[in-house]
Amino acid sequence: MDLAIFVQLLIGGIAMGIIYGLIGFGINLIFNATSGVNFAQGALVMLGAYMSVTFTNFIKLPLFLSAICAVAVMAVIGALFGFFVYEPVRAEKSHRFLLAAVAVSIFLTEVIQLIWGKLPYVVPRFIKKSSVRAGTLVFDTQNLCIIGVAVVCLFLIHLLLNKTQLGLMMRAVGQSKEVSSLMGIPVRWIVRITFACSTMMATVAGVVAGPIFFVSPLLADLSVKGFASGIIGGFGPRVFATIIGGIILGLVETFGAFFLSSSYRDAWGFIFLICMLLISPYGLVGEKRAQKV
Amino acid sequence: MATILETKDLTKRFGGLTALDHVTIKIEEGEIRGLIGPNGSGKSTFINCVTGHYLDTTGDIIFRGEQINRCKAHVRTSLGMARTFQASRLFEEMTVKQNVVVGTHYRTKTGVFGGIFGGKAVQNEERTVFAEAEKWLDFVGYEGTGDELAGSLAHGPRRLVEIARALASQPQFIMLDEPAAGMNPSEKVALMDIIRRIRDLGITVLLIEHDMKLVMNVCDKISVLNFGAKIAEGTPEQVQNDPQVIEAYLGEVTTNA
Amino acid sequence: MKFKNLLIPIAISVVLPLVIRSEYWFYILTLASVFSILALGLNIVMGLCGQISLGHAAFWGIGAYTSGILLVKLQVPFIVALVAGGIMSAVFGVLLGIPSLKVRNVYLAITTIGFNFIVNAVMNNWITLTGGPDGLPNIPPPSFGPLTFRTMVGKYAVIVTILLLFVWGFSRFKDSRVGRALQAIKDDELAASHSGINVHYYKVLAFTMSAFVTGVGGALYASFIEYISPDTFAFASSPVLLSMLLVGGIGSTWGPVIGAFLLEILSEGLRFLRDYYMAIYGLLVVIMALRMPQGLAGLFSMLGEKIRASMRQHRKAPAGKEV
Repeated sequence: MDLAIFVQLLIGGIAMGIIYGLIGFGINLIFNATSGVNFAQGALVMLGAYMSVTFTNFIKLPLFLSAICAVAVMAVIGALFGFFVYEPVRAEKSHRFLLAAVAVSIFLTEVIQLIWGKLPYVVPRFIKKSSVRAGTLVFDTQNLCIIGVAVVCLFLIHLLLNKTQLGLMMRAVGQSKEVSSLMGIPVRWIVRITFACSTMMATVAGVVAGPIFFVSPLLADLSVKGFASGIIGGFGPRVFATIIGGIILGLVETFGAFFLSSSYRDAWGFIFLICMLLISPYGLVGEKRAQKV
Repeated sequence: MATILETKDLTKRFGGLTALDHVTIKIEEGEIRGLIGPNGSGKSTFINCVTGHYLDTTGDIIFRGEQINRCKAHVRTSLGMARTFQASRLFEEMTVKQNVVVGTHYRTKTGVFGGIFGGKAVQNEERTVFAEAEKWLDFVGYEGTGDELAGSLAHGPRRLVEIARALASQPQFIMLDEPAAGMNPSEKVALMDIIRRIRDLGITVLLIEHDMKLVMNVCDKISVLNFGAKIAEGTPEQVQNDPQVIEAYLGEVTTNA
Repeated sequence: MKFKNLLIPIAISVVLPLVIRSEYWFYILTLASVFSILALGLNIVMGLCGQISLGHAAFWGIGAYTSGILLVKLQVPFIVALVAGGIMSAVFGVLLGIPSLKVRNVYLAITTIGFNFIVNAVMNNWITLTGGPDGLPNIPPPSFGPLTFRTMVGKYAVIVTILLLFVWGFSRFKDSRVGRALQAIKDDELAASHSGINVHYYKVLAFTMSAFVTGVGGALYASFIEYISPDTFAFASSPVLLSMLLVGGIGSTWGPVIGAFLLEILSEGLRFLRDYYMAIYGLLVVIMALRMPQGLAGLFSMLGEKIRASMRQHRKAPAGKEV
């Protein structure tokens, strides 16, 4: 195969996969902190993208600034989501939270359409020039931006989780809420902060995906890909595995669409996922954690 | 007398932590065996390994002459072992009677179609299992109609229902994980009687308990675990006077103080 | 369930055609009955066994397409197509259930969504078989031997009869040995396995039965509307089934029926709200999920319990005075 095409597919797949991975990352953060599964993550991705559209198209802020504003606003919304949706049902079985999150995502999708209308918004690319050349290789600049932004964000979250007091508390809450609260960690606030972080990651995903997908209610469907990345990477404390899972998924989809059939683009990823569950049910690095008795 | 359960060098690790360290225990048919030890000494882990909650153990578990290391939990139940849990686990949204009836699951037959379309045999089976459930609830001295939701029960009755559910599977061997926890003194006395009557039915009992008075009173033989290893075994008197046991428990007292 | 508990619903279903003359409302009621069957199917796996499927529209679609294709291309009898729709759906249920139900309960939620996408892609792209995005027209209405139910009332009769049969079957199943095993798994998987229940086997069984019932519902849908197209069975339709179950009451026998009828009728009744309708509907579902996990069926049975209790008190009160 032509090397140029291969590299282009590779970069495209990785960029796509990183978006999936960022969404899955947020889901996994919440899963670790609460063992709840947040099915509203896709709706939050979508809301984040719309926020950023509002800041660029209506308030006319520069792109970078509006992305920062969107992330900040969404962090608050994420914490509120934790407060209003997770906390009332947390004491019960986790599937009540899951159902509540599904309901919230139905609701949010509708509200977004009421506020912003049903038509998709076109979002400007981060860099005007659409491609750069290096010899025979052509790179899409948006894909390079996605990869760059993601690397920066992941580095920041890595610092937060592993180098700060707050990150230590977040990890402790993930290990055991009881022990954490005995040690004087404000568990409820840490959980809210975790929701905020997770939503920030969702927003970043929504913002970088905007120029590729347009901003429309269809963005909510991305959450499913986020979950798929989580499963492929493995849910558990090794949160960064989700990003790898996402990249694998993105590559399978991109190459599947190119070599096999593009009308089954979405299907390839899920077929891979189901096969993966048959072979290695706990994902790449997921823990086989037996339930405590 | 024949051996009902035998573990040979049973070992279970959690990451770097060895929760059970080459534990070799032999339990004879018809005895009431106590398993004691300070907190975190591996008592519950022992039951969890024997009942198949953890399958990644090393060493042998031999139940009624069969090696069952790789059998899943439900298979072990069908071989004749039953258990209760340290923090009682009932089916909260089912009635008390239904909870006990679930215990009869593996020895009854009705399938999907039988359940829907019924028939004489199915009706008979239903009647039998519910009658049995009532019998076991009586046996443990449960006071109540049995039609209330399990989720609504207080601590003491929950323990009893759990024992009834375990007995409903007609086991040869029953493991009780801290059944007296949260019981008041009169309930504890009743519990001692229940345990003896279980043995009188020909069922071997393994009892994990913190209440020393109860253990010393009711058990024929006691095994002591500390830091995952067996440190002593014998009659209640022998164990009570064993210096290693005293040290293990004294150690606990000093660290707790 | 005893037969006498079905008498009132049967009476209602018989009286309705006499009261309602509008063809349009008949259409709504029949559609609600179809949705009741679909939601009842979902209730088996979610309500009884506690396993979450978020892509159930896939099984609805498999049932509809299997039966539609058999009826249109091979002209098989209606009853054969109906059963085939259920069986085909169940086969996919087994295949998907075995890997998905092994690890964590949420995995099923995700693989079912993925499955929904796969099925939809096949419907859209296997044009020689499914007709592609244009759909499959001219599906014959329900018929038994020489009897063909072409009118709305006729279709209503067939579908409501099957719905009542399923409700009856569900309530019998719920109180049977296997039904109890599923509920035990829902309440406490660990305790269930230590009580001798093969948890994985029964989860797959529940999922398969659920797929079967939903598939039959899909086959009925095809013969009712007489035309199917992939959009109906897209992932967006799955939350609709789920919200019917949430509003009606997960796990209860009548829950799916209450939810399906309420939401179908509401969606017609609130049509004047236009765009706001879906948002209000969404909010309703959120409130139900957060505040009333038992749904309307739970609310009704609680009210019934209260009324009965107060009647008992009234009966006691005079007796107390005499003493």
